[in-house]
Amino acid sequence: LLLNNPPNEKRPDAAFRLRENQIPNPPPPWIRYLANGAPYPNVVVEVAVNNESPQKLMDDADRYFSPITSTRVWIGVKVWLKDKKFWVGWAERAANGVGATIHTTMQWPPNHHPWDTDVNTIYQIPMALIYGPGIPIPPMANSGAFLHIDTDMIRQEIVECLM
Amino acid sequence: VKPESSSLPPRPFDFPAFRKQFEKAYDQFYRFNKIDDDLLAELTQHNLTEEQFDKLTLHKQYQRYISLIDGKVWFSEVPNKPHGEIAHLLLIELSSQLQERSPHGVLKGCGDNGIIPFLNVLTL
Repeated sequence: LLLNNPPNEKRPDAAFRLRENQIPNPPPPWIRYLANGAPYPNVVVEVAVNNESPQKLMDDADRYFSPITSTRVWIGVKVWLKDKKFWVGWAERAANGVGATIHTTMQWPPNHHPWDTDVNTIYQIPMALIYGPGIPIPPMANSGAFLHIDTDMIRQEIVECLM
Repeated sequence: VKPESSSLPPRPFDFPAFRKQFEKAYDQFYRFNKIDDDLLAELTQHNLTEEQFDKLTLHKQYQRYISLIDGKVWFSEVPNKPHGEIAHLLLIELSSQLQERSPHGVLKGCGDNGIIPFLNVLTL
């Protein structure tokens, strides 16, 4: 997060990109590259603790799925310290190729979720979506065909840090 | 004949005056994690050299949260707890599930470690 945002730039809190030696030759046409030659991250993580409205988080999610990136999945976490509440969601590129389609079972204020109550939701993000067309998916012994995001694991981390 | 104001040459960049404004902004940034909008706007009107930027920021505690991008000074928000803990949790969770360290690993972590300090994205 930047207090004074440079135009057209964004920094994720964590990201995963394709290893260059794992990209087929010729590369799939959907892959976009940064100025330094590395591919854009397939997965980006954004964590917001206060100081950012839900709308800002959603707008930023949209920006990761711009026409010049090849971001495939966004994972977002929002924490409200004063309210002791939180939100977790994920997004994929919208069907028209630009912007985010958000997936979540959790609600925004005023019905956001208290962090002292189980959510009982594990998001399942298809590995095929994360890796993208034409990229070989490695054997996933631990997670099968989905990436799992356990909202209660995140909740417990918040509680452990703040209680 | 008095020249019209539009024909006046631009005033040379007054670095000492800029430095005073920067220190004022840094003080707000350090103490409140916020900077007055007017002050921020004033700072970003000017282009700095790397040398000037170093003079302003070296040895400051929050140096890592201040960047020089295209000649302009940018202040990154200092994250609140548990921002770092959640980001780290998701990083290790994704790394494990994506088998980043396995010989078959296809995806590689590239967070805020200098590999991709910024993503260029278009504003929609």
